[in-house]
Amino acid sequence: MKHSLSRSGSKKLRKIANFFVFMGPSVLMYTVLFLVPLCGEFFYSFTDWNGINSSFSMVGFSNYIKVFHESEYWTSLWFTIRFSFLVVIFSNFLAFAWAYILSKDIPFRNLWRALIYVPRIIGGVILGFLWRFIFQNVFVQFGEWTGLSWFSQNWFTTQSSSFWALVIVMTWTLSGYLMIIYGAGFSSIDASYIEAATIDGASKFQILRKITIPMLMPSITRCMFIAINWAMLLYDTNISLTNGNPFRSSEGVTMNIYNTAFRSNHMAFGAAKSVIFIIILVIISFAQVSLTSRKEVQQ
Amino acid sequence: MKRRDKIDTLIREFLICISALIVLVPLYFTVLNSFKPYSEIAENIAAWPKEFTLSNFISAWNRLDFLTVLKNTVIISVFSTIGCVVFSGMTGYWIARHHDWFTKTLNILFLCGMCVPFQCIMIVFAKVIGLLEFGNHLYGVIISFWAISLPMSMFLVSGAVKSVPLEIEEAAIIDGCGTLGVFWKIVFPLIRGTVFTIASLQILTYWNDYLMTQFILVKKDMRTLQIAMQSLFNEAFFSWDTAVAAVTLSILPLFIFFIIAQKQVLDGVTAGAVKG
Repeated sequence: MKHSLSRSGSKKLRKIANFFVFMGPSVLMYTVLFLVPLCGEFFYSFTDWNGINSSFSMVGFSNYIKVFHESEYWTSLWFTIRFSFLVVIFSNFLAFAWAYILSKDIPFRNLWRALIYVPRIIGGVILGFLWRFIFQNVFVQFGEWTGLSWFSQNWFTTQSSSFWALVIVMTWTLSGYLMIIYGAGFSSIDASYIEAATIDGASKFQILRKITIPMLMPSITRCMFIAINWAMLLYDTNISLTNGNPFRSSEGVTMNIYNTAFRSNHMAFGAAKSVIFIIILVIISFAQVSLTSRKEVQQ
Repeated sequence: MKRRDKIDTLIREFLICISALIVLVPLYFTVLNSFKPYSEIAENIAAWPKEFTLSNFISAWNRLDFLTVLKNTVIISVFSTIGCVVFSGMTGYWIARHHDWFTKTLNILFLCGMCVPFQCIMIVFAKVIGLLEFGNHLYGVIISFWAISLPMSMFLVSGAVKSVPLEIEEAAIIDGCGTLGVFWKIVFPLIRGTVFTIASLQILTYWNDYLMTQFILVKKDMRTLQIAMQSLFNEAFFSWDTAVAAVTLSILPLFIFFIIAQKQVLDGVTAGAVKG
């Protein structure tokens, strides 16, 4: 009896030791670098902390009330939502079309897939700088040759040009990525459904509408979710491409939060803004997922 | 029927060819113009360079301090990826194989990390970095990347581990293998595919990260590619010929990587699509 007790004791000890080896480092880093900042963000949003002084006092909801009265925040949020809406529509449409074209085994299929994916590997501020060159040089010269004044406008000096520039860049970088995900969705569709429909005399368009799209609803849900998140959280391309020009009118929410917290040193105010932002983001994502996944069919 | 099929293929081929051309045109112009002096860029952007000049690249190289910057970026990307695989591998394995309430709670906490973007924790994150004195140290960035990318990588690993039959592990334990041995010698080789996928997915994220890195690396000789590019473009006097060569130079390593690891990268997209 005693013998077996000590053996189970040492077994338990070994399990604890193993736990520390397998989970210890991860739990430690994750707590310090993720959970603490997350809880801190929430906590500080109720204080008047400025990030420099170590002392602060609790101020309740006054930061939140201040956010509701700051029109710049809501302007940037509205800008982000409009921008995200267009990016989600355009990139998903393109990605779906490309995946549809490539759903048949045409020659060089993998080459096309890889080529269209290429924009995705360029990221961060470099993406913005690359496109600044394209807009301010290539587009302008192209517009002068063809006489299309839209191309030769002064990019990033008007509100609409900055807006459309961001939409174009984001669509460019996201579409190839989403195409790969849609492609995986296409290849998981059982070919016998389409065969059966073809034998019954269904046209290509009918097959697409009645079979392919309903079967692809899980991919559509997923791709829209990804696109919404990427577009709403945009920061690095935003600062490198438009940097808020003109007059902070092309400023996304993340950029607004960043400037509040680190340029004007209103850390607590910025924390309140980011808490509001994450709530809005969760609501939008949740609404989208529940809307599109309702249309999913059982296979 | 057969002829219609052929026409269908041709139309598809045509459409995708046009699409690929449009998608790649910006890259073509960027690379082409980095070989031209500014006068030629301003004159005709589409023209072939009269004389291929490398002077743009030389000035971009010097102004970026390219070698140092590239070295920093490579160190960060490689060590972050290795650590990510090691830590998320072990954590994912443990979570897949233990079902007590404590592990389950930890699992839920990790999964929370997949829903909360970095942008929403950055203010206090910057403060924590200051307290830990991670500033201007490459290891500061590396450790932060380990922590931030843990949730998704761990999630993918634990999914893969669930498909490994328990009997194999039991046999190894009877043969006298410890838990660490079981994981590294038996399970890890079996989930190698997933691990490669995670690695190729993450290495691009690390390479392209700007927002998190800029909180940590400020000093000039500690810059990564992204941060060096940002400060190059912020300098008051820059000319497009140097700038465009700098862009070409900084995307070149990514192209080489993509050509080599193309399959893993594209597989990683579908695997990583759970989060995005």
